[in-house]
Amino acid sequence: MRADEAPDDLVLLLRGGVQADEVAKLKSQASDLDRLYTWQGGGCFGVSVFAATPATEADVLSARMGVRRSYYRIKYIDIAGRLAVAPTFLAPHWTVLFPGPDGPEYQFFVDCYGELRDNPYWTRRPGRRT
Amino acid sequence: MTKPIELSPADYQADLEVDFANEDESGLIWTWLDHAKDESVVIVGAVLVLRDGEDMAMGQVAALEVLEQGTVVRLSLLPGAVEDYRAAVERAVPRSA
Repeated sequence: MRADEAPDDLVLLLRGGVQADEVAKLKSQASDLDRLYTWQGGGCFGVSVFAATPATEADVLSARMGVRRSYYRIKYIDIAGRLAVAPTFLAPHWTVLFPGPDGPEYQFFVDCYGELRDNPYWTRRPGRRT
Repeated sequence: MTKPIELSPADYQADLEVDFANEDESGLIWTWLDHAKDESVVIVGAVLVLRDGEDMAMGQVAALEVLEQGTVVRLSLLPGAVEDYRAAVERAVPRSA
């Protein structure tokens, strides 16, 4: 874990995708993480995101999320009171942590997604030069 | 040069399901080996088709780590679209006599 502070204007950039059941997908991702890592001596149910501020958002989308056709942009201040968000591994990687493998926090997180956005920096388009 | 045909993710059977944001301390992507369609093709150095929902990319296996709870696959993402690799291979296939 890094020592980064979370500025008030931090946004979390999460994969978009076509998910029939977004809550189930999140739970599956969280269980995958818990299978590999622990958090403060206990379970580690979480999902990976990339974080940015308005000043760095375009750079993060282009440099770290070029594989994504679409994404969700979640405001940190919207979830900070209910979910732990930790700066993990190499910046701008962060992890949104859930209290356990189940619970209402998963639906709460989904409710904070906002609109699905096209990633203008998607580079996995055939024939595109990067 | 022929232009690569863009296919939808549903047109492909990926080798491995991943979360492209699941990066480890070295910046590699990780996933569990039991998320592979065929575990036997997931070996160090193998180039695989990766899928995360609607997103697809090519990746190369950097390491396999056997743990008590399963085998972790660590991958580096390769540039370009899956279709670009397919088009390159098709150009390289010998012409029939």
